[in-house]
Amino acid sequence: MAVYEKIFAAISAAVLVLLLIAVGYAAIGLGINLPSHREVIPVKPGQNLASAVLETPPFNTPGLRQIAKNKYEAVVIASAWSFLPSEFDLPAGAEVTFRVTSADVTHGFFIPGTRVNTMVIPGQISVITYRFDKPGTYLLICHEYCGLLHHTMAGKVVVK
Amino acid sequence: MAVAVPKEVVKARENYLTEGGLLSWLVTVDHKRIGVMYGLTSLAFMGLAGFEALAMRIQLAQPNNHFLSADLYNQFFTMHGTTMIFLVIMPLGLGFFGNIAMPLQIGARDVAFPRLNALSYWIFLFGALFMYSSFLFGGLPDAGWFGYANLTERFFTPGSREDFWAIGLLILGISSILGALNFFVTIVNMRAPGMTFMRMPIFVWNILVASVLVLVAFPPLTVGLVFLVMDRFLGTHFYSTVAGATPILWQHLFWLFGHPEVYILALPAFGIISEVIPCFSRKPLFGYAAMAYATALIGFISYGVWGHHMFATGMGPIADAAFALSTMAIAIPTGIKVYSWVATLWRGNFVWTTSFLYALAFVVQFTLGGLTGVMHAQPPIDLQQTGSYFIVAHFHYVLGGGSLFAFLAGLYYWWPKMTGRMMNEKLGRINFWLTCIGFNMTFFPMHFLGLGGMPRRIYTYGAGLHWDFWNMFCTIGAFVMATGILFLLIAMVESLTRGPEAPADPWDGRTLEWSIPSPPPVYNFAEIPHVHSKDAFWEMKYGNNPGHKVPEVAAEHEAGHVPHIHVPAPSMFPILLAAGLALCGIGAVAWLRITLVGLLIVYLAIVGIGFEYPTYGEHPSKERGDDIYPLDSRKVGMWTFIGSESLFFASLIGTYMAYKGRDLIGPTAKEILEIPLTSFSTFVLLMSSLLMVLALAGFERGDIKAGRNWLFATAGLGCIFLGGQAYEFNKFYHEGVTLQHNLFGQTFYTLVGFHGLHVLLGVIWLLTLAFASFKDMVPKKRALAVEFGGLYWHFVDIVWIVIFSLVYLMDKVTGA
Repeated sequence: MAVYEKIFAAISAAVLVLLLIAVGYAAIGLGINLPSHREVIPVKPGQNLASAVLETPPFNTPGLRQIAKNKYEAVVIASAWSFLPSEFDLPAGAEVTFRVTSADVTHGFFIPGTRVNTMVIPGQISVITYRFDKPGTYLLICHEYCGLLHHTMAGKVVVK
Repeated sequence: MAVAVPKEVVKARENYLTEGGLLSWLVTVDHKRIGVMYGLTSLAFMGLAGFEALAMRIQLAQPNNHFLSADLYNQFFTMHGTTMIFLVIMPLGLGFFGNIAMPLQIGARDVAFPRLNALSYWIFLFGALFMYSSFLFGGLPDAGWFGYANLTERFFTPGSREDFWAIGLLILGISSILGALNFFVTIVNMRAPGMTFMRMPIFVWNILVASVLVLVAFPPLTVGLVFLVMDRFLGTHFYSTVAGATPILWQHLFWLFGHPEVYILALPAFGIISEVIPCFSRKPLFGYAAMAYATALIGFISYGVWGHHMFATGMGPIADAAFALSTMAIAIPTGIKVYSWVATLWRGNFVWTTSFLYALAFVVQFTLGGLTGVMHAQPPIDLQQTGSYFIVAHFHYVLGGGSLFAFLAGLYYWWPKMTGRMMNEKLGRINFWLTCIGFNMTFFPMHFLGLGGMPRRIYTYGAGLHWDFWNMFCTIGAFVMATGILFLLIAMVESLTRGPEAPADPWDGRTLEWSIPSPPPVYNFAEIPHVHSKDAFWEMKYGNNPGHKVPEVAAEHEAGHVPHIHVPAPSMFPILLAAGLALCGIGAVAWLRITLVGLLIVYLAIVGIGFEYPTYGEHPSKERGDDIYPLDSRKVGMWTFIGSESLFFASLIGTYMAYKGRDLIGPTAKEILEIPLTSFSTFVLLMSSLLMVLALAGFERGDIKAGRNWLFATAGLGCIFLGGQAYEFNKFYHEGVTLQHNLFGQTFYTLVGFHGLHVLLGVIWLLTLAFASFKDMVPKKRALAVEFGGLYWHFVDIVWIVIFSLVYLMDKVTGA
C-alpha cells in the first residue's frame, strides 16, 4: 500500500474507534429510554385478542384521566381503523403517559412534532410519556399500514 | 466531447447474440445471453413498477383525491415496492450486471454452473409472472412489500392475494439463492491464472459479497414466509396472539433478511461505480485494499443491524443501543467507499460520458441518502422520522438515486461491449438530465413532508395539513423523471438500429472484458489471460512487463481462425425444472394435485440435469496447463449450499427457542418427548453416515456392487429414522398435540418435519444414485457424484444432532 493509503486507513480506523466510543457512551452511559413493551396483554387459550384487551385493566376503561396536578394518563385502544379515544384535551404543560394497545393488527401511534412515535403491536402495551409545553392542535396518526382504511385512522391532541 | 477514439473495429464472425435462432434462447446456458434476458425482463418490470408509481403520485398530488380507489392504491404501493426490490434492482444487479460482466472480468468462459444459471433466470421469470397473475384472481397483493404480521393473517387479509405474494416470494427466493451460489463458486474457483483476490476488479468483490449476503439472508425470509403460509393455509398461529405467539416474530425474521437485502441491492451498484469512476477519471481506483476490506466489512456488519427497522417496537434500551451502535458502524466502511471514489476523482482527467455523469450523480445522491440513514440510526431521531415520508425519502435516495443511477451508469458503460454498438451521447445527456432533475424533484421534498408529519402508505390526506404543495411538486417531478426514462428507451432503440459499431475497447478500459471483441464471441476469451496485477488489461496495454502483449484479437479473427473451444452445451432441463416449480406454486393456490405434478417434473428435471452429460462427476476439462482450479466447483457448491441451509435450520431452531415456554396450554416438550425412543432413532441416523462413508469408498475403488449395496443400506437406515419420526408424530397427534394445538406443536412439527423432509430428499437422492449405478451410470471416475450426495447426507445428520440436543436433551439436562 502506498503511503497515502496507509495514512488514509489509519485515519479511518481512528475515526471508527472514536465514533464507537462516543456512541457507546451516549447509548449506555447517558441512557436512552424508548417505548417499553414490558407490559403485555394476557390472553387465555383460544381467546380473541379484542376481548382479552377489554378484560385487561386499564383497557376496560379507556380514556384520558388526570392522576395528579399536570399529570395525565391516556389509555388508548387502537383498532382498525380508529383510536379509542381519538381526541385529547389538555392544558399546556401537562405531562401525559400514553398507554396504547391494539385490538387486532399492528398499528402506529404517531404525534408529529413531538417524540411520541411508537408501533402498537398486538399483545403488547406501548407506554410513552410526553410533556406538552406548547399550546396548539397536534395531529395523531396511525403510521403503520393496517389495511384498507389506514389513511383515515387519525385523531388530535388539543393543548390549550 | 472526449470519448476515446474508436480503435480498429474488430468483429468476430459469430458472436453470442447471433449464433443460433430464437428458440436457442430457451435452452441457452451462456451467461451473456442469460444476463441479457435478465436485463430485458427487469426493465419490463421496471416499466410496470414505474407505472404503479406514477399512478400513486397522481393520486397523492392533491388532498382528498379519488384517482385510484383505496384498494387499488394499496395494491399499487405493495407491488411497487415488491417489484422494484425483487423484480428490478436485485435481478439487474446480480442477474444482469453480475452475469454479463463478472465472468468477463475474471477471465472465465462462463460461470461455474451454466445450467443452474439458466435455471435461476427461468425460475425468476415464472415466479414473477406467478406473482403478478394474482391480478387475474381477485387483485394484486395489498399488505405492503414488507407484509407485516398479523395483518397478513387470513382473518385480516382474506382471499388469495397474499397467498400469491408469499408463494411467489418463496419461488423467487430459490432463484436468488441458486444464482448467488453460482456466482460465489465462480468467483472463488474460476478466476484467471494469477488473479488473486486482491487483484480482481472491485466490481467482482462486490458481486462476491452480495452473493454471500443472498446466501445468508434469504433463509430467514424463507422461514418467515413458510410460517406465514402455514398460518394462512394450515391454521397455525406463528404470528397471532391467540396461542401466545407474537407478530413481532415476523418483523425479526423479515428484517434479518431485509437489512442484508438492501446491501444486496447496493453492493453491485457500488461495484459498478468503482469501475466507471476510475475509467472516466483515467486514474486507478484509490485505496483498492481499503475498498476490498470495506466491501467485506459491509457484508459482515449488515447481518447485525436489522433491529434498526424496529426502534419503535419496544425492544428495550439495551437492544436499541446495540443496534444503533452497529448501524453507525456500518456507515464507516460505506464512508470509506465514498471517500475512495472522491479521491479517485481528485485531479482526474475526466471523460464526460453519460455513464460518468450518472456515476457522479450517484456519489452525491447516495451520500445524501446515506446521511439521512445515519440520522435515523439514532433511536431518538428515528422516533421523529420512522413511519413518515422522511424514511421514504431516505430509501429512494439510496435505492433510486443510488442503485438505479449506478445501474444506468453501468448500462451506458457496458452497452458497447454487450451490443456491439455505441450509445448516442446526445440522447444520453437528455436522458441523464431529465432523470436526475426529475428524481431530485420527486424525492427531495419528501424530507420536508416527512418532517411535516406525513405518514407512509396513506392513500390520501386531508386538506389544511400543509402537505399539498410539496405533494404536487413531487408528482410533477415524477413525470419529469418518467420522461427521462423514456429517453433512455429512445436511446437504446436508436443505438440498436442506427448506432455506430463499437470497438473492443471504446473507453481505453482497465479490466479484462475490454480485451475481447464487442459483442463477445460465445467462448469469451480465445486464450485465457494470465494476470499479474490489478487492472489486468491496463497493465497488459501499458505496463512494462516484457513478453505480455495484448491478446491478438485482431489478427486471429481477421484470419478467419475461430478457435476450437469447448463451451457448455445448451440444455432443456432448466426451463423444464422452472416450469415444474411454477406448477407447484399454482397448485398451492389452486388445486394441490397440480403441485404433485409439478414436483414430479422437478424431480425428473433434476435427474436429467444430473445425468445429462457423460462427464458428470468427472474432473473438468484440462485445458489449462496449470491446475488453477484448486477445488472441484461442485464440491465448493455443495459446501456453499450447506452453509446457506444451515441458516434455514438456525432460523427454525431460533423460532423454537423463542417460543419455548410461551405456550398457553400444554403439553409441551417436557411432558411429551420420549428420549429413549428418539435416542435410538438418532443412533440409527448416525450409523447411516458411517454406511455412507463405506458407500463412497466402494465407488472410489471401483467396486460398484459394494458401493451400491452400502447406498441401499444407508437409505434403509434413513427410512428407519423416518419411520421413527412418523411413529413419534403419530403418537403425539393422538395425545392431542396437533400442528395447531399450541406453540410447541407448531414449532416442533415444523422444525423436526423440515429436517425429516431433508432426510427424505436425501433418501430419494441416494436411491436414484443406486439405481443409476445398475445402468452403469456411476463408474469409478464419477465417484464425485456419490461424494457430494454424501456431503449432503452428513450435513443432514449433523443438523439432527443439533436439533436432538436443543429440543430433546436440553430439557432433560436443565429441566427448563
